[in-house]
Amino acid sequence: MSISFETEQELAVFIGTVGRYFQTVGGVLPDFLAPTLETVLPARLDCTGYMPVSGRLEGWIALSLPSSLLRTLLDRLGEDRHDEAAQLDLVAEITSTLTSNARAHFGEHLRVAPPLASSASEFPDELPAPPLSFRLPFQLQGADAYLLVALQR
Amino acid sequence: MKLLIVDDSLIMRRAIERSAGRSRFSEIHTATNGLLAVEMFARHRPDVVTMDITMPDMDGLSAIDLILKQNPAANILVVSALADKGTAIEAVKRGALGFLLKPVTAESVHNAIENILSD
Repeated sequence: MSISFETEQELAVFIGTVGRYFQTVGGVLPDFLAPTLETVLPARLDCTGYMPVSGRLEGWIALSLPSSLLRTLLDRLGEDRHDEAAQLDLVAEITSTLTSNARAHFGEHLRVAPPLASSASEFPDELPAPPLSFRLPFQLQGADAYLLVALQR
Repeated sequence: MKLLIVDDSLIMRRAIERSAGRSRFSEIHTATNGLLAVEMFARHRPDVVTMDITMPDMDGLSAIDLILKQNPAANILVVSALADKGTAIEAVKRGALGFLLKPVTAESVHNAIENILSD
């Protein structure tokens, strides 16, 4: 399935925001792998943050990270709490930051709500699975992670 | 001196607390949303407030309005990930003294707070 021009632009925006975030906080740029189109929700990693979006674009953005990477990032922040609550809090905060940073491109058309986070086995009921989304996989410090962008016009 | 940190993320509140420097502030208070921030400001009268924008119950922009009604000279630093110019301009127009874009580093938080205190 081909990716439309607008989706390619959105993809570039999110590659930029993901790269900037992890370079600032993690000290290194992630290695981005080929993005894929998804019609069902991919398997979540240990912790996933969700950010509902409304306005010109409707849907949500999710970031799924393994615990090992979250522990490393907590260390980089100088945080000594590494438990699941801290990991979920951080993944929600990163998701919120990535989505909100994207407003530099989308402007106020992209209205955001406070983020949610869940462990791998859970998925918030209030977030319907999108008919189509793109998944941006990346690797950071040896760990696999991905950003899922589920937005509709 | 007193600092009030307003952010719905526990990890961010703790990171800002570490960055701000405990030696600078004898009291550090925290709030998880704008509504609690307004209450905490009235109770503790902090010298500096760091304010997130996107939060549940009451957002940071609304909280800035209510805090400045209590004290028009309040020192408020917005620490937000909202990267559009409109949000930054709106925050400053409402009376915030600075706007720090997330992700932040310990150094950028420390410097931004020092700048506000030196003005």
